[in-house]
Amino acid sequence: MSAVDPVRGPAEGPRRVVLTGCGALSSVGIGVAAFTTALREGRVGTGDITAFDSTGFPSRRGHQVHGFDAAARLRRVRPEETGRATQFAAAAARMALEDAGLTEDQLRERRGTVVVGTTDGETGELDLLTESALSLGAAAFTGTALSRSATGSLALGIVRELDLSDVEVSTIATACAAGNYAIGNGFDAVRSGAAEWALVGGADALNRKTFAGFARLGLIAPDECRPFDTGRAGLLTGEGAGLLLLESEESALARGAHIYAEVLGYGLNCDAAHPTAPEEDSVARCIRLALANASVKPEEVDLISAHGTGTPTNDATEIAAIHQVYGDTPPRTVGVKSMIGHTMGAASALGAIASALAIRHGFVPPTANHRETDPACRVDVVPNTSVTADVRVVQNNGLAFGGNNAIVLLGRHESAGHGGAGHEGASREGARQDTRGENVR
Amino acid sequence: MSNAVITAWSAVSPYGTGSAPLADGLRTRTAAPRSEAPEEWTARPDATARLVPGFDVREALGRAGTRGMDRLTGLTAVTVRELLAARGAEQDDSLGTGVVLGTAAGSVQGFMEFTRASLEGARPIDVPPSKAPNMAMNRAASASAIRHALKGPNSTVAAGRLSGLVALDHARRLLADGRATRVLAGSAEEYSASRAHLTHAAHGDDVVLGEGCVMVLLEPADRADGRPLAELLAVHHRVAPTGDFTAALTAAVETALTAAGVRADEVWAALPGNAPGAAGEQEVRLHEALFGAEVRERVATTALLGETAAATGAFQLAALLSEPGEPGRIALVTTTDPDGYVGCAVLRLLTDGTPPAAGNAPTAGGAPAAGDVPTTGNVSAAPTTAEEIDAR
Repeated sequence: MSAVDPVRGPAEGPRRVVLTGCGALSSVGIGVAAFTTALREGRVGTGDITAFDSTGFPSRRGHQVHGFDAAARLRRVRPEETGRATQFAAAAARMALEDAGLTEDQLRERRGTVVVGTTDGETGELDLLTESALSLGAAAFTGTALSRSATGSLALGIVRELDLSDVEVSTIATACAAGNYAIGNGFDAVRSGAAEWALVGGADALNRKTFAGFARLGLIAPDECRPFDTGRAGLLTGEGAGLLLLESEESALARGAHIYAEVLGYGLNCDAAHPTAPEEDSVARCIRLALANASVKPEEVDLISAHGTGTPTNDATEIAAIHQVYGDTPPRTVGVKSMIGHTMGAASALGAIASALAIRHGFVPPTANHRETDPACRVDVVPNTSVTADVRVVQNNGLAFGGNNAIVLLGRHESAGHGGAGHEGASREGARQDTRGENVR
Repeated sequence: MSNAVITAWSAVSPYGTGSAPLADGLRTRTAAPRSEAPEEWTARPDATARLVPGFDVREALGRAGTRGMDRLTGLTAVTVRELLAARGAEQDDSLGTGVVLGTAAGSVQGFMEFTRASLEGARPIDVPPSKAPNMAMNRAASASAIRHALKGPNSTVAAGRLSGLVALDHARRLLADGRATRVLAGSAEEYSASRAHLTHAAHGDDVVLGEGCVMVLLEPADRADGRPLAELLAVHHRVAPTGDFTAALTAAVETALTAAGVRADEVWAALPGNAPGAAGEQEVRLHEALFGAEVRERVATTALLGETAAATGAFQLAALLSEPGEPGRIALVTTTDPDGYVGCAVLRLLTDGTPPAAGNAPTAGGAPAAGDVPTTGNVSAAPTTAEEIDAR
């Protein structure tokens, strides 16, 4: 057996991993088609939160998923028995499966992995429990409450909805980078052969606990989320889910699946410095880990889907880290949270889907609500209007409370029919220079 | 790819702080003491539980950086401190030391108290800002990393009572894929009145809750710095169809034994996870079908600790590592969760079971002195006011 390279993993024939199905739920729409249209149009899904009683908060604005009919979308999971985040995860998984052109039976035939990232799990259920315990006391605690409020309910909900058994299942609760953690976990499982397919991503539902916390800390923007803007004043909490179906390249090609993108690699690290504030050097280190793991050079990256929360510290720190790695002219760097809010554990999963759509459809989603780029965030944020572009490699950032960073690299797969460019470095480089700052719609 | 090996472990348990009290309690088959439940909010006045004796977060960790810290985080951070003290400080390298912690739902009590403050305050934003970092469920794992400057992958996984084995599996994979040099893996559970109510409502008033945390240090066998206490041969987990645990658990055990290259009759000790209800009953029947009484009774049951929920799998590892015997013994643990998770791990025990209170140089016992603790991390950085906090 050959030695394991400390960065690139096993040297012996790891499989290539591709993305063949996406399921998306967000404030700008349900389903990958609606999500694509919204990103292209730069649509903003802000509205008043009604998912819980937001009366009395300084601002009620946020990004709620509207028009979600759980009963119509779920076949086995019963909405009245599960929390909202679990319903989101299960519905998005079903969408990803259908988008990939796979059936439940095909999943059952081969061992798989289901990993869902989340910040809050089913904290919304605990909110409701708290409210009823204040009036009912101990009688509020019913026999199903333990299961309903368990964080693991999210990934388990997918397994129950699709009636699976031979699957390794986990819910990853690494806060706002959790979606990328889940994608990385599924990538490693498929790449190593531990699983033949992976349903991975993230889900979170709006809840009082987290909204109150962010509001108390003064981190909620009064009107809109404006990543990288001089006048940015915070984030807007959101909800939703993004689930991705990953499989080996061999499996996708054998069944003639349409490949969105190849997962090229990822990086994980921890600032180990501060409970809530990010650290520039550590974020830069995570970018380098991801690039090395993906065998991608900085000059080969066409687009960065930033964490971009719209808080003063995050955006300045994140852009400084990007400059550390990319020098004075980093790739276009966009903040999709301007359109869909901060969907917490779903954020980097929806960011990864946005990245894949950019590769597949040849456009860069904009940073919406933008007025003036902060000199401390000196990058092309693609303000307000999407741009047609040849996007081959995208870096998708996820940075969490606690200093938990996770960064995923996606690249165009040669089967995608955009001129036959693969993820080889040389072909990426060739197509880069004609894509910057042009074709603004 | 080489297997992962456990080269150190520590714990905070109802027997006390450190691996030695837990190992002693398990080796002598002494049930952990019960004491009065500490919280008032909606607690039954007569409630007792197997609590970590006298545990107070700020007394255990000092006042720096611990204001508002929840109990789950405190239990985890102390366990990590004890493990690193036993292991000794070391230079972190480019990939660094990772942490993978299993949890069921974070600090349920902490979350509910935060929400209660919002519901009962004059304004809905009247929640305590010092507790805001606890809002994120990765608080325990990340706070432990901050206190000891552990800059490798830092992950929190949730899979009910299987969380400990799933954490072990994630950690093993991080090593196999070259994403960390070494990983601290384990799981934790706090006692709280809220958790007691949830557990009693689900599984009956007779269930006595336990709490604590066990962390093991996992390294690649071919590059381990420490002397191996056990080799992790296989971990396999899956999900049982509702109510029917036997078939899925049988498949998990068979798959794990095959992956480990071990026959069922080579297993020296088999340890079930004592889940409440049908999950645990079917698990025990399966053990009876597969293993003789001698094999099933060789290692102390973690039932001595009470119902430890997410911490169960990690406590099972501690029970294996604590049991005296010749190096080379094969041990198998299974864990189930009433919600459907089932899993199995197979290990080759390389220790003779001496409590590893001093890490790789086993001594007669006694927890390491707190003064030896490496405090390379930033322990004074916890924000205390809203103004000091900015977010991602």
